[in-house]
Amino acid sequence: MKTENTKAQMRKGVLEYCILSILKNGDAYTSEILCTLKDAKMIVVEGTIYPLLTRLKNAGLLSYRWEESPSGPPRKYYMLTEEGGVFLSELNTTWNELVNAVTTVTLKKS
Amino acid sequence: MNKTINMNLGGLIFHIDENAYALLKNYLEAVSNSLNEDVEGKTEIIADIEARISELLSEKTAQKQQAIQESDIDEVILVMGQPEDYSDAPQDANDESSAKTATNAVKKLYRDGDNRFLGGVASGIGHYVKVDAIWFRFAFLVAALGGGFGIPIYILLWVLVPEAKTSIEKLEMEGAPVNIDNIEKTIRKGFENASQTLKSGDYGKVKSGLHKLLNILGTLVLRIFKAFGKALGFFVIFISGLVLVSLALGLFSLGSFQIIGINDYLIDFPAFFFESIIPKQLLTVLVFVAFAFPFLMLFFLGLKAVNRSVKTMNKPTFLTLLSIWMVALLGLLFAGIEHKTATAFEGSKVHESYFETVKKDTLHIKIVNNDNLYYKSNFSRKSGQNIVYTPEKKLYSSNLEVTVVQSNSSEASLKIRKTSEGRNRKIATENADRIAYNYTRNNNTLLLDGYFLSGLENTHKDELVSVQVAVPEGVVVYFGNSTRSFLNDIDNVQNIDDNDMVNRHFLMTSKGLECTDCDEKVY
Repeated sequence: MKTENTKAQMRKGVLEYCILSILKNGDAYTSEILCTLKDAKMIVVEGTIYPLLTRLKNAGLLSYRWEESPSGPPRKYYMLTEEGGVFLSELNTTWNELVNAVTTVTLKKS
Repeated sequence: MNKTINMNLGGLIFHIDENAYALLKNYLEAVSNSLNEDVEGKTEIIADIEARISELLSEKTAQKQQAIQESDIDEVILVMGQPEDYSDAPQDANDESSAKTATNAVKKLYRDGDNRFLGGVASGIGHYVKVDAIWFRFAFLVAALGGGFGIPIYILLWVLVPEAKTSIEKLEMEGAPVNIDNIEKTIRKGFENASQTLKSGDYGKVKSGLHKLLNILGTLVLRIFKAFGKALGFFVIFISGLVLVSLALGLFSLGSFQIIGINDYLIDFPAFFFESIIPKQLLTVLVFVAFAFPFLMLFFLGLKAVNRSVKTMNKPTFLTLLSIWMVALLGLLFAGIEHKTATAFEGSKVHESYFETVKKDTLHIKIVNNDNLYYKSNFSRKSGQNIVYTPEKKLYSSNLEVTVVQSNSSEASLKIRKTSEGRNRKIATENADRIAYNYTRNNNTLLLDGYFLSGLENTHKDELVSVQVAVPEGVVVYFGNSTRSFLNDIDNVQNIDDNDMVNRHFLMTSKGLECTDCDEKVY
C-alpha cells in the first residue's frame, strides 16, 4: 500500500463535492474551476478534472453553455442543474457527518 | 534548427516544432488510451483537454512570440498530469494486483513496420512467437526459391495482417501488457526514433532507397489486388447479366411458342417434362426461377465488388426471392422424384415368328440403319439415343442386341423382345409394346433394323430390343460386317469373342455354333 495512492483516493472522493460547491457560487468555465481547485491545493495536475466533469454532466448534475471569450475561442461555462443542487445538499450533510465521525475517531485515538 | 508544423488545437493555430508536435501527439494518444470511457464521452473529454492545452499554450506564446518547443510541451504535461492521472475510475484497494490484472497482456499478430525488411511480416511473426525475425526471413526465402509458394504466402500476409501503428498495437504485437508505463515507454521510443530521423537530415531521405522502392511495390500489390477484384466484379456482372437476359428471353419465347402452339417442334423439353403431374408451363417457370436466382445473386455480388457503396437489395426482398427459389427447387425435386417413379417397374413384350430353312443353307444376318431418319457414317450400337422427325418427333435408339441359339425344332425362328419401364408392370408392358421395331427377311438374308423408335418421354426408361435368332442343326450362319457392335455374347464351340465372329461362317452343330473359316489365332 503506497501512501501516494491513498492520498490520491481520498482527494478523488471529495473532488466531485468540491466541483459542485464551486459551481453553487456561480457559473464558471473550466479554467476558473481549475484555478480555484489549484489555489486550494485540492488538485496537483489538471488532467483529473476532465473525465469527472463529463461524468457529472452525463449524470445530469451539471450542464454547460458556450460563451464567447474576449481572447480566443468560445469557452465552456458549466452550471449546476436543479438535480445537481439536490445532490450537493445531500453531499453537504454527508460531508458534515463524515467530518464529525473522523474528528471523533481521531481525537479518541490521540 | 527545427522544422515547424502548423497545428490547429482547440480552434487556435500554433507554430510548433516537429519533435514537440510528436511529443504532444503521443501524449494525447496515451491520455486517450488511459480513459476508460465510452467513445462518445471520450471524444468530448479529449476535446476539452485539447481546448485547455490550447489555452495554456496561447498564454505562453502571448508572452514571447515564437514557435512552441519541446520544453513548452513538457511544461504543459507537468500542469495537466501524466496519462494515468486522467483515469477517473476508482482504483481497487489492493491495487498492486489490479495493475496487473487490468492490463492483461494480449498478444496479437501485427506487421512490425519499425523492423522491417520488406513489409515487416517476418518480424511481426517473430514478435508473435518470440523467435528472432531472421529465421522467418530465411524460411520465406527458402520457400520462395524452392517451389515459389513463399512469395504468394508473403504477399497474402502482407495484405491481410495489419501493421502495428499505434502504441497499443505495438505493445500487443510484442505481447507486453498494455499499461501506462509501457505506453509511455513506446512513446518515448517512438519519439527517439523520430528525433533520430530528424537529426539525420531531411525527413524524406531517411527511408533508404530500397525501402522506398518496397513501399511503392507494396502499394502496387494492394492496387493490383483491388483492380483484380474490380475486374472480376465486371466479369461476373457481364456473365451473370448475359445468363439472366438469355433466361428471360428463353422464358418469354417458350411462353409465346406455347400460346401459338408450335412448341413441340421448336423446343426439346427434357424427358421429365412429359409424364409429370405439374403442367409443362409451370415446370418451365420453375426451371427459370431455379437458374435465375443464383445468377441474380452473382450479378449483385459483382456490383458490390465493383462498387462497395452500391445499394443492392433490402432484406425482405431478398428473403422473398430466396423463398420463391426454395419453392422452385422443391417443385423441381418433386418433378424429379416423380420422373424416377415412372421407371419403377420393368416390363417386356415378345413377338415370335418362324421360317423355313434348308440344311447347308447360309443365313446372312445384317444390321441396317435408316439414313433418312438419322445418319451416322460408322453406325453402331453406341449411336445411342437421338431425337428424330418421322415427321412426328420421336426418340430414336440403337440399343439393340442380337444373339443366335439352336432351335428346338426343325424350323428357324426369330424372337423379338422389347423391354421398357413404367409406373407399374402393366404400364411398363404397354410402353414396351409401343416400341416400333422392324426387320425384313429376304430368302436367306435377315435384315435387322439397327434402331427402334419410341416416345420422347421414354428417354430414361432403359428401353432395349433384343433379337434372338434360333436356327436348326446343319444351317450355316454368316454375320455381316454391320452386326459388329450388336452381337451379344453368342455361345459357340470355340469360345470365339463376339468381335471376331463378324464376317465369318458358323455351322450349327449339335454342340452349338462352330466356326468353319476362322483363323486358329482367334480362339
